[in-house]
Amino acid sequence: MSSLEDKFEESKKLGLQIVKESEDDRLMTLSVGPQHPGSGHFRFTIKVDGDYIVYCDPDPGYVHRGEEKMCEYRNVIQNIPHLERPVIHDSNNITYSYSLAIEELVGIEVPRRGQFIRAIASELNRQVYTLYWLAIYGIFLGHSTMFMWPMGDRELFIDLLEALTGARVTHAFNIPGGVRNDMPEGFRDRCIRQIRYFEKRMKEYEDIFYNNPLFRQRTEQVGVLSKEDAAKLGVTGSVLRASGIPYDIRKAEPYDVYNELDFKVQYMKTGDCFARSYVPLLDMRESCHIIEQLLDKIPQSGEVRAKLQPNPKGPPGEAYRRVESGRGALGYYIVSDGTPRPYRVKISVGSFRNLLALPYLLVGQRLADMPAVYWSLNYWPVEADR
Amino acid sequence: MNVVFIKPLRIKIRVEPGDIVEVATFLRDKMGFDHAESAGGTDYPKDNQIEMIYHLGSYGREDLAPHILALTTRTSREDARLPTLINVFKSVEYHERETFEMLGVYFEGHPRNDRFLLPEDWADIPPLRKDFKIKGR
Repeated sequence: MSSLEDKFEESKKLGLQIVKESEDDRLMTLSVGPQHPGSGHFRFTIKVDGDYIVYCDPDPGYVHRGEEKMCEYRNVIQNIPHLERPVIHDSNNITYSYSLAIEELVGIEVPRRGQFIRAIASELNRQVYTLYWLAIYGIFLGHSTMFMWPMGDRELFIDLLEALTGARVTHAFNIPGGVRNDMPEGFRDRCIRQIRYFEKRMKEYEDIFYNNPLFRQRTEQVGVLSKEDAAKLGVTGSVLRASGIPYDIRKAEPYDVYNELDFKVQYMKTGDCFARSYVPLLDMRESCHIIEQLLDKIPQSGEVRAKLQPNPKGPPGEAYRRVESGRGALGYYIVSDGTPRPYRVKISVGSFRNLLALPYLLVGQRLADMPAVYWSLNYWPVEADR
Repeated sequence: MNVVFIKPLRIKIRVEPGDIVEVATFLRDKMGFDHAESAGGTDYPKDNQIEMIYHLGSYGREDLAPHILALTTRTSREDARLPTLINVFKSVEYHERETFEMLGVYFEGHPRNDRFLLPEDWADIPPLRKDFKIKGR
């Protein structure tokens, strides 16, 4: 008994996931997730030689819901509540590009005040998402304070969104033609107050987390993605901007009111885990400026949504529209055959695109760097699976 | 090759399956489209065809940043086979794999035409084909 062969047979009978690699067991296969506390609903298999990762195979699909198929069974309005499920923390952005595409297909003009409220909601929602991501990145690297602080500050933005939309997380706020309801009274002052507070907090985040020597050691020069490879792999969002490509849909292809705003695309050139974790903070800071400008420029009165027919439909055609979400470009390709239900909806999400970089970055890293690399990719398993 | 439509910032062209690798290489090397934002298929049972569509974008050329070029090709539903674009645009790797399982299009030259998002024991037709109906609806 207890030759390697026997152990292998025995483990197979028990249904254990021990994979025989070679006679001397030099390579070991590890399954990360889906029960790993930090993996999310996602599993990837890695092989290690000593403590170096030599192989990585992502296995998504644990939360695949068939969103694209579901869209074909509902009309364009009924699709909104289930389309925000893939990323409930960023639900205004995932319905934003959907609404833009439907507006293009049906031919709806959004009232100006509605465009502003939409942009405010999507910027606030991006902060909620990024703070959630930052909290998990903190706890993933063993920094408990960085878990608690962003989670606490995230509540401020959730409260603002609750006042604006009526729901805390899944808002179903964007609809083709505008937004569901108007801003409440006193929203502007409350929003400005929270942003001032949050700007102070971001300085504290830098002191305790980003300037922490332990955090720096774990992330600097780790998992470097070069500019050329970033473009080749087609990554997006903060991963792309951390590698020195200043590409942001809000600037590249401004939608709604973004071409009237004054903001910079934040990027870094090093392409390591530190850059990928720092760019989201820079983005949040820029978002604060954007929200202030939006609140200053918003028309004081007016409609917030266009009148819609009961079953909105347009002529047969197709549209591809995208917005910048918390995880990068979020595009919808919608084909309409002239009926109220979409003929085909294809959702191109940042997480799915950034996943391609995971095996590329992990191979050659030490096992201890795996959490730092994995979560720096801003990967949201539920969104990638759709 | 024929141009299906030209709209502001969006162009859609359709090519024969045999030409797609050559056209994609031209778009990458001569036009500056360096990545695919999205790639997916649409089932058209009326024409007995499946349309594969690649939405190409550019990070390298600033003037192309807002543009999306849709490169499409069609294959028959019975024997759905297309050449892969993985050697031209690395970024289509997972999108093509997803299309394989969702629409049953086999990509010749793709290293892995296998299960990706669906459950391992999936034993039905590809779910995004129009003849797949959600049970009970």
